[in-house]
Amino acid sequence: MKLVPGEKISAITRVLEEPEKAEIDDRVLIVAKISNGEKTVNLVAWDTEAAKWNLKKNDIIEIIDGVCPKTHKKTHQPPTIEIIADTTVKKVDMVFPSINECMRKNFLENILDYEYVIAEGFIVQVHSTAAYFCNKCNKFSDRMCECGSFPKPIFKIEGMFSDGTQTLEFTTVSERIAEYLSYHKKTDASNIKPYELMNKAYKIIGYIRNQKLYIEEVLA
Amino acid sequence: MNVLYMSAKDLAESKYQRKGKWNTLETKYGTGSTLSFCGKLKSTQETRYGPRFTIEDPDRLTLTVGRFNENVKEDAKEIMNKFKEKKDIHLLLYANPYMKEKRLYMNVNQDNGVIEVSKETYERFHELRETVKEYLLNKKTQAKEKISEDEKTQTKEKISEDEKTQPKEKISDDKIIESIKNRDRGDGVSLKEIPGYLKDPDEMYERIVDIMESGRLYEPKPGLFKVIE
Repeated sequence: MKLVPGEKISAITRVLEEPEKAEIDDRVLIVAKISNGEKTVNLVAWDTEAAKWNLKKNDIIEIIDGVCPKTHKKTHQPPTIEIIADTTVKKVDMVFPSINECMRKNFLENILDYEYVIAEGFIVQVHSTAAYFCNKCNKFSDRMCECGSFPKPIFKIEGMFSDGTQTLEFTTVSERIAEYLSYHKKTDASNIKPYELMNKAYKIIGYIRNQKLYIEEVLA
Repeated sequence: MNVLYMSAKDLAESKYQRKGKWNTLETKYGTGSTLSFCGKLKSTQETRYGPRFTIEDPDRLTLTVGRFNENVKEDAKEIMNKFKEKKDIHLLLYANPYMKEKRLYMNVNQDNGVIEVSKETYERFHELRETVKEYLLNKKTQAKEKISEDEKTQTKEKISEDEKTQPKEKISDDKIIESIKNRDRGDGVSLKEIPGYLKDPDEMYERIVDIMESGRLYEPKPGLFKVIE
């Protein structure tokens, strides 16, 4: 299952989790992780297609003519198959790798760009624990922006992660993940000591874009 | 930065290398510029190069902390003070190899290069290290096997290429006639029994026809040849 942004893809996969529904700017989105036993991707449906969604955790599904979004070519978006009007999704009954088998640990050096990985390793360097976005200037800034304002910190941990086979720059994809990773609340973002993040091993789910690991879940 | 998870024991089988501006260590399973060790702190010593820690993982290893970095030197001093009171301290260290006068040194010089960890983290580190080591060693063995397999195939291909390009050794008419005569038990000799047939059956058939035309062979039965005495 090789995803290429902008190209169609067909695959038989298992749904690994209960789908999550979200509303973004008056649009409805449903997303769930799926896997063919080797590669894991997000299955995504918007609006009309989301309304038709009838999949649940553990279903085995055949996707015909799903689309890997063209917009993912030059972004840091995760590996995704989108269900569009032309896509057929049907449940199938067959012998297929279980959820546990689909979620096997792998080594970073085996993972290509735009692929998910479940990896175990240590944070070996911490670059920052907070990012600052100045709404006035509409750009990321230092703690104090050039315009003189002090933007609210965004809880985002960045540094280097190593599983012993490869050492990659990493970032957490959301404040929720930063909280899980650090055992700290968002309000402590600027005060976390790097050694507090570096003194334990992590089992994470992430994806790689341009040699950078985007941590999406912390499993242990 | 390439971090290699190591145990003190791995150092014995490793080779120090200077690669460009990097001091690296080549182990059986990979090369790293930053080496990660995890062990129980056994002793500390203040030296003019900075605190010196001896850890056990269970083999012993001594590292110098903070020779060129005041931040990590301060962290090490705090650990030294703590060690006076508490003896059960496990450390995770990120060191760089350095060789002087044929002696290998481990220097910790990066910020947060020495971190106190729990016993559970110590155990998990070594579980992970073993898994990674096994994976990297297998990968290396497989790569070696593949290279040797590729070399074998290349050698075979070369031999067969050489055979193709080498000029064929031509058997003389006299030799063909002689071999037919020697093999003939009365009914004649089939083409397959004639030396050189297997190498190039078509050519051998043409040769036999030529010799027959020259009047030195005949075909008493289809496919069998006899020498005209």
